[in-house]
Amino acid sequence: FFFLMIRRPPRSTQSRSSAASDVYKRQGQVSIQLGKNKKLEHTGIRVELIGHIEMVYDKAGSSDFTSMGRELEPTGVLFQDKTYNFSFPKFEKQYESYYGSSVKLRYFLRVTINRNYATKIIKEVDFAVLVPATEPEIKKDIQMEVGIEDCLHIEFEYSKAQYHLKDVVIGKVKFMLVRIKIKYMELCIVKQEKYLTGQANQTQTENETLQKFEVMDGCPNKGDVIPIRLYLAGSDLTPTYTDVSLSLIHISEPTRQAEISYAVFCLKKKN
Amino acid sequence: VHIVFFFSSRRRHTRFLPVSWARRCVQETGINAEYMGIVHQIKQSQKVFLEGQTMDDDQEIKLEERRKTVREQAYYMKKAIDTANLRDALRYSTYMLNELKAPELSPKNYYILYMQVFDELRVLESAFREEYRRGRRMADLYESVQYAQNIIPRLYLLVTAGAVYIETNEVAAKDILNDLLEMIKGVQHPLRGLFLRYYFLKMCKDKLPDEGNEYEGEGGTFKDAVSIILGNLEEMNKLWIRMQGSSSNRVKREKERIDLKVLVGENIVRLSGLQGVTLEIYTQEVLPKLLEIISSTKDVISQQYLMECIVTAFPDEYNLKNLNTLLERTGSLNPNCDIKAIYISLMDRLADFSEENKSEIENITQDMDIFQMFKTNIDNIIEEQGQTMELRKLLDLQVAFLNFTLKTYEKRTDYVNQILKSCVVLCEKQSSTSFDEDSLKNIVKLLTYPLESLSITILSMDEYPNLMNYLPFTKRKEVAVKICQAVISTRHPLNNLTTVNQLLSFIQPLLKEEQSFGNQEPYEFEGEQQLVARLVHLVENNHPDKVFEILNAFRQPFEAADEKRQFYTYPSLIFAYIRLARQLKIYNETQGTYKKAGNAEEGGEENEEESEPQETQAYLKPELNFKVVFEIIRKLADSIASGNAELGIKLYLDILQIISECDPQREHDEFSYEIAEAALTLY
Repeated sequence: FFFLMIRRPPRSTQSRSSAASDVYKRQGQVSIQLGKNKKLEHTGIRVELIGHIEMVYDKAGSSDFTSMGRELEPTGVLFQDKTYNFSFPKFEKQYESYYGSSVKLRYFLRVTINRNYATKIIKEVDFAVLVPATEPEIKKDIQMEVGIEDCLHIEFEYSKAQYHLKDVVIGKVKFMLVRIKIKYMELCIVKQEKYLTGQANQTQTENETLQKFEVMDGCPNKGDVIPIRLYLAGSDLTPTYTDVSLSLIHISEPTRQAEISYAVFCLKKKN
Repeated sequence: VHIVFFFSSRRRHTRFLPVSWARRCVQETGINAEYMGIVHQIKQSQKVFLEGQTMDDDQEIKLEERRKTVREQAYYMKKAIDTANLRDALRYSTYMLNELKAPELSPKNYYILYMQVFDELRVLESAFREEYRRGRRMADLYESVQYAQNIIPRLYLLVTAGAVYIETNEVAAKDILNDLLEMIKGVQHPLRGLFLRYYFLKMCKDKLPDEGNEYEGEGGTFKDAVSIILGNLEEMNKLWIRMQGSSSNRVKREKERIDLKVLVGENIVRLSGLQGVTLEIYTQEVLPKLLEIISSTKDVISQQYLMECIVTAFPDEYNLKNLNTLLERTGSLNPNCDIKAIYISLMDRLADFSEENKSEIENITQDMDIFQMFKTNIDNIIEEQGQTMELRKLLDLQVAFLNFTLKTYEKRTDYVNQILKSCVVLCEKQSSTSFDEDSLKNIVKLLTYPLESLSITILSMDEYPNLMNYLPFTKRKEVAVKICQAVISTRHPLNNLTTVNQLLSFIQPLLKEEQSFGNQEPYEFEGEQQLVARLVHLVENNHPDKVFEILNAFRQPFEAADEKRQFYTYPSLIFAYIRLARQLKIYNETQGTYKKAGNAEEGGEENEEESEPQETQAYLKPELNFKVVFEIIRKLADSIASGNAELGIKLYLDILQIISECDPQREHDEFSYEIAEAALTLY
């Protein structure tokens, strides 16, 4: 019966600091509307800005990595609707928001109304934080020779090791030895999440295939070179911060799967 | 109680298990043993049912399913296009093109599906054009069609978009074409790859940079076009050969490949259509590369077909100028190829070319000894493959060669003779004495084709009768008939004794019957003999002596023949002699005679002088006088008269007439009296 609303000011009023730093000012309004009740007794109203890493499968491992708070109202009673302004200057964006399948990194504003004789009222509103990255200096290509002994031997190359989201993956695959019947070859974009599990203290990896892109149909001969051209704009990708790796999957008869993967960084293009 | 056992056919042992089980059931339960028969029957009928559904029915069903899906998706696609919703149009076209994955379809059925999809894609193509006109950037469109995840739809869309992109002239045509050529390498499956590349060819048809067309210059030159097409051909050839696969089902695979040969040949057709491919370019760049592609593999079907394509697609002139290369390379193909078929195709085409371009061929033959080129290569083939190749096939080759030679070298009887000689050699090698029907037909062709253009000059070919000897009687008669017809139709005057003697020996089968010969249709026989009779009328010469000699030469075989022949031949001979008599009379009146000691010429003015110079013997042989001639005629008539009274009377009367004409002195009165008497007696 309480209605809590957190309003953020429209974008234009958000101040931006200089390009080099990632310091922003977060500000907005909290309005509390009393419903049928005409009064609200509380022991304090607080607004907090929290950056939180959540382990989906391991709740205990979740933690806050940043937290800032403001007291909006000391202990008292509210008789009417009230709106509070708040602002968190000097908010440093360390990480970007990420909503993955096993790990989530969230930023949110939390308003807490503490009460003596009842549970506290909490409202959380998520907001997104984006950190544009600069293009890394090194631009090298990837070249690799892989295979299965006596069956298949390929050499592939990609023109770049790091791509931005509107980029094109250009490369080729050369078949040095083909002794098995290949049905087709696909390029898969795999999202990989690595996280430390608190208890066992080891890294766990979870892979999710975001997109499959068929690159060759049929079985080539020795010496054939197959071109690869994959436009990243055609797929929904999350940028940076997670390693997005491209893997080359050959599907051969009878449905056996050989996977050769190589990590590739993916960046968001700076606006 | 009926016990019926159903079982799946998957388990191999089920054939036996249920029966034994049934038997046990019967034993244990005591059910009547005849029920066991039902078990077996069911199994058999099930088996038959499953096997009855052949592969073809399966294919039909699958094909129809796919066609239905294509129709549906095309419908949605068109609706999206109508509402200018490009995104959805691409989406539905992708669904539609996914049907071209069709791994289960046979090539024939795949072709049907392909044609349907091809038609639907035309709508999409015009939608792309429309988009461009509305201001969409083609570069963006070219990129967005590549977002498709599956390769077959992606590449078909890319080729379609690429074709429209070329039309906009924003980017060099050759760049787009090369990019397309590169990207379609992604489809390595033989059947799908072949069709995709065929689509590529079709879409680029008018968009290749070529001499004098809009894409030349910035867009490239025709040389780019040549290299693009050759690149496509090379890849298509590889895919085509890959279809052969492993050794299983070899015959079926070969048949499938032959069904698809047109797809591969389209490349060569496209090449020949380029304006920029002149004779020079063809000789220096195109032909060598094509031959390289052909000899890069050992595949029989590929080599055979591509070679034939080269022969038929390019102008005969080009091939003529490059004849030596072509012949040599053809000879060095995989021996399992039907090399002679290629040769025959080539020679037939060149023969037609010669026929239509008489002046050109004259020039060409002055520069190149085409005959020798062919002869050497053909002889090589015969040498290398003569052991294994059947006689009739070798003769097929020779027939084509002869045809070509006749059309190209119209007067060269020596060439023809050479060819006949090779044939004689071939026939000699043939171990069995009886030739098969096709070989005999070929020999007849070899003997009769020259008659058309060379006519009586065949008599000078010494190999001619040699070859003729290999024919059985009926066939020889056939040839003899043709010879007569040729001589008669050209109205070649028979004025030379040697020629006539030769002719007579050639038409021996008409003059005399062989023992083994069976019955013949009367009208056929009549026709033949009439031909022979007509020959006699061609006899002519300025000098009566000569005529007399020739007629006597005819008379010999006629006299030796049987009556039914004489019925036809004698009358014409008689009239020929009658004509001779007239000629004699005139000769006597105009030329005079040079009397040798002895028999004097009857009547007429005598000319004491030496007559004309030696070129025509001015004297008549002592044997030649009216009396002799009349005697001969009379004898001939007598023979006829004994068999045929009516004809005999007519002939006698004719004789009387000529006598009265030639004999004003009435010196042959007694003779005439006898003839008249004979006539009246008959009457």
